[in-house]
Amino acid sequence: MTTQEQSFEDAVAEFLEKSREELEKESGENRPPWSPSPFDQAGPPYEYSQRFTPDLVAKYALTIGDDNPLFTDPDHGKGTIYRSQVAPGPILALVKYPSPHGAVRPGGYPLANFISGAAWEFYDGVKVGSKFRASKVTKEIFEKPGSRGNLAFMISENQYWDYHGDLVGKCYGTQIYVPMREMGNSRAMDSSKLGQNMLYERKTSSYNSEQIGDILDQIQGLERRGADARYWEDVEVGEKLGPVVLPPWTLLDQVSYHSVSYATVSDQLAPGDELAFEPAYRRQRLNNSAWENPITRWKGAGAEHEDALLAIYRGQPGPFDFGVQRTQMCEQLFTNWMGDNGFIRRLQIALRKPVYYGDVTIYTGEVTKKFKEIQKGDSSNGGSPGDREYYAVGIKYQGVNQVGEAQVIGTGTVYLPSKEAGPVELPIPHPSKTNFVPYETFYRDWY
Amino acid sequence: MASDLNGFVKDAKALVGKEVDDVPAGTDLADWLTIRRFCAALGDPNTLYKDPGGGVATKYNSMIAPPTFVAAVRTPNSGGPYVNKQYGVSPFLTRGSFEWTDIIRVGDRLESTIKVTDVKEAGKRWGYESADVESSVEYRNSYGGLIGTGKGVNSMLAYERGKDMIESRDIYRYSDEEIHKIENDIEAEPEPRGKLLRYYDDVEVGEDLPQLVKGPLTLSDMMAWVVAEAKSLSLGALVYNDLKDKYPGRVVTNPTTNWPYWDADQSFEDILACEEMGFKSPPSRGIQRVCLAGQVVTHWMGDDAFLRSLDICVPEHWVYGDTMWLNGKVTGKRIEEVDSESYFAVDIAITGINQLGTTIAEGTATAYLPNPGHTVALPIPH
Repeated sequence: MTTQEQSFEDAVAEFLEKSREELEKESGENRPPWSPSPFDQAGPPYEYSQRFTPDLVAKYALTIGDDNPLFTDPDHGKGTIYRSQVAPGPILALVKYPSPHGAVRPGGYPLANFISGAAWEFYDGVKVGSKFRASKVTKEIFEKPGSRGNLAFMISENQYWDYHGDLVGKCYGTQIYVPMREMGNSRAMDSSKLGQNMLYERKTSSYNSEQIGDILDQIQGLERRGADARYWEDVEVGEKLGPVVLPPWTLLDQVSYHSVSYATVSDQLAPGDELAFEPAYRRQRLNNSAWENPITRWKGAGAEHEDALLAIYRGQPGPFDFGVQRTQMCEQLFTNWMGDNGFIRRLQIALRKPVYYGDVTIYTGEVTKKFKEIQKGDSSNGGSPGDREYYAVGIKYQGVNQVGEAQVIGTGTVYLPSKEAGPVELPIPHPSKTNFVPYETFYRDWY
Repeated sequence: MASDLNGFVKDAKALVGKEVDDVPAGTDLADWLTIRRFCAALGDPNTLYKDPGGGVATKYNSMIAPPTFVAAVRTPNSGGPYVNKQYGVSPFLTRGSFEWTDIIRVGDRLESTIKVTDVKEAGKRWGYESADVESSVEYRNSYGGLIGTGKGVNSMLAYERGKDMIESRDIYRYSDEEIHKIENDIEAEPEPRGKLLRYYDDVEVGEDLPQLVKGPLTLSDMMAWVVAEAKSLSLGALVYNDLKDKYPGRVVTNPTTNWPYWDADQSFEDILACEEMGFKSPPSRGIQRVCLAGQVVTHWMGDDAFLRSLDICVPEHWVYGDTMWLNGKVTGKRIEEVDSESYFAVDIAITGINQLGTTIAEGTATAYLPNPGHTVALPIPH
């Protein structure tokens, strides 16, 4: 059936049916830039185009608002458990986008999609000089009722190996699909229907001098533990983390992320470097996916997230952030608190309300659990042998905006050095084949 | 705030001849991805700048970067002391020029230094008193080889930010007919010349170069350029810290959020903040147009030719929604002697006209072409 003849309901049904066919299969997303390029096209796992050089790691850290010398200073990390400069673990989201995007076709399907979460497991630090290859497999697809009909949830399992063959991290990513009747039977909404049924309605915030003073006080009050070890024995349940404050969200905040991600991967329908002008025009036409600018009337490359005139195509009242970028910014709440010699073992990020242009986000957390856990591994290919006890704390955190809406909630498990057991030993022992953690396990109180 | 153009000029003149640090370096490595991002921001599909395997078969024995890639190493647009304190002036790059002596190969490590070379009162520009700050960048590879030099003129306008308008034109709305013309013109663009040699003897004065169509300008086009410049970009509170400590002269207030630590440099591209810098629709950065003009020549000249120089003025603004038709015409042919080498030089005039017929880019370029029995010898003696 052609998209011209297809009803909205049939298009949504086709999307779900074809997406379910991808269960347990390797995703076609985030592959290396198409040939001609210097990258191996074979997989899985698939080569990632960027090597995590000291410069790139430092640059990346700044794009998530973190200037911790552990990430930006090539010498600082030498005295830590990592023995080198490292990257914040969620940098692996550059290697492979955390969540799956389901079936694709030219013109797309009439659903607005949003990444709604990422749940990370880390087994080692991401060290400078490393290069990665990764795999993404769709593991779960289910529906839940929402105010606009059934929402589709898609969960993937991503695995990230370095080129020594070590599994450094895993991610279970969640993508939510919202059916949009106004889109008809494709992803490109007719401009005459713009604004008919918005997903959110909130104007850009403006701040008075008192609010500005509060934000500045919190920025200047930022505390970072650094080399001063935070021992497990000294931590108490109820202890607070943060705040980490992000001042009013800007277009440049979004572009900063592009500065480390543009052209690094291909997608299923395009080679990955058609970002502007004629190539972007041809890509949009070829895929029948152009949005008509409501003022210029030109059907060109659509920056739905960043462009105040195009965000409405996603049912949004104004420019809104990339959820994937948000999933990478809360780590500093943990690293600032735990110090250079702590280790984030698990980090779950559940995205809630979007971050709109001008939004302030205040991240805070609380220690909710202290425990010890044993990690076992083997020496098979890709595994890491050992049988070791770790001293862990569970942390619950949130990122709240200036009007009290949660933009992020989640949990984390941090391994801390112990006065009785010594430093956190890395890598964390693990078998070559690790278990998939399903949505029902990680989405709430995953420690 | 009220402008202190005289104070600015006095402080700027004290910097003439000195290295300055107001323009951060971009990349120091011509790796495949950084070259791709640069080409992507120009919409340049030339495989000479993309195909590492194919590059080995060219006369360079390597994939190379487009000559204007030097802008990703460092943009030649110092504003002198502008970043240091609040003078009430705003910078707009109005001229950019480059002269090259060699190619950049993929994998080259690159270095650059920037100096202020001249400062002068420039009278009224766009209705406001202005001063021109000229700066020069020298580009070298890590072996010390000179890649080229770049020069830029930053016009520093004295106007009251957030109050006065420099360009009050609304975003342009196209008719069906205009849209069809743009589509047809894009479809009519030929592929880059590529391996097929274009000899000096084949070229005639008066010959037109293939037209390139850039636009209607989208936010995607503008963001891609910001990325192409390869400068480190910070987020959130780090921007506040940078402004406070390093760039107090760029601190303004965002007109939409009222946030008082807004970086004036961010008002480019931003439709919710550009009013603060005197625009109804976001303006693009002038250096992007200079580099797009370079594509007109490289698209036409073929893999074995060499873009020797490019000198482009951007007399009016290119704002969101505007389309630019870039055209080139051969204006002269000559044999240029450089030390002991002879080069078959072709001079080209370049224009960029928008949908209103306004000239938004104009200048000249010189390309060295091969000729039977003569390849273009590199590096150019210097």
